[in-house]
Amino acid sequence: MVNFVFSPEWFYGLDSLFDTISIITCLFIALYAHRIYKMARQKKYKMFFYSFLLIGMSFLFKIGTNITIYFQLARTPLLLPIATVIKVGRLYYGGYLLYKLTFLVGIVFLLILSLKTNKRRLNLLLLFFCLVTAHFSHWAFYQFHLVAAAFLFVVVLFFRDNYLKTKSPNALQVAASFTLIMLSQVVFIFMFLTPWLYVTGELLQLGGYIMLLLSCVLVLRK
Amino acid sequence: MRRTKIETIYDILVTIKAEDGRVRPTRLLYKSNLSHNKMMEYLSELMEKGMVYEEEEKGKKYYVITEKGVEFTSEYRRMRNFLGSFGF
Repeated sequence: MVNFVFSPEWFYGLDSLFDTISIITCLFIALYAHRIYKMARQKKYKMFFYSFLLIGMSFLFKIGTNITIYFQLARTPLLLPIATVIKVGRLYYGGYLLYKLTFLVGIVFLLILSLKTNKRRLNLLLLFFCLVTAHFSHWAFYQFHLVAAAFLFVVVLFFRDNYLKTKSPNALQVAASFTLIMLSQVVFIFMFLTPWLYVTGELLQLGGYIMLLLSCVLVLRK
Repeated sequence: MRRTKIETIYDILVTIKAEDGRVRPTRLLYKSNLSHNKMMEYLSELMEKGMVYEEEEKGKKYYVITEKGVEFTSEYRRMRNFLGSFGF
């Protein structure tokens, strides 16, 4: 059976508000990364731009799908007619497929940048893995969060190494914010147990993106 | 490690800035660690972009950094700090 909503009722809409902050953070970084790419014309900065653009877009897909599903379910009686179930099911699959795919590909771009690999075949394999995960996690949502957490774990290790090398407070903030984002994915793996874990995951994620936004604003204000 | 084009441009501009905003070609050649031809190539590009201009004083040639050149060095430093916090 597929669960359409993981959020507790009182949290409807608040999660979308939290995700909006994540979108702002990602678009802020993407825009600056694009500016860097325009200046330096290096491929890795283009990838940096696309990674945050895709992550930002993923939250847009998530918000769009969630809001539509919430309203669809709110308008219907307790026992859903079969036509509504099919409609919501299709919307859920399509919207969340786009969300999961853009999120994972965005993270994979960061992963490729952090691994400093230029192996086209490996990169293609990772992208194929994203597609497979995005599709098959429709029936077991935790798989998506498990893969996202694993990818993010490697990215976090890279940011941690960067902090240890540079000892810069900004590098520490970036590492800490991605640790929170990774932890949110770990918590999301178990959200089927209780809706409170969905709330906890959203709060961790919000904390991560706010910290990331602050660290970027601070470094650019200097 | 080989410098990228943008890094070389930054180094040239910072060298001029550090020498009170204007520098003799020989000094720049020594400080920028480039061949004469390469340095002239970069300088003509910088002059074209309005970041540097050439002036003569008592028969001696100088390269002077402009406001736009100074702004570029600040922007590049900010950019480097931003990328540095991500390790890229």
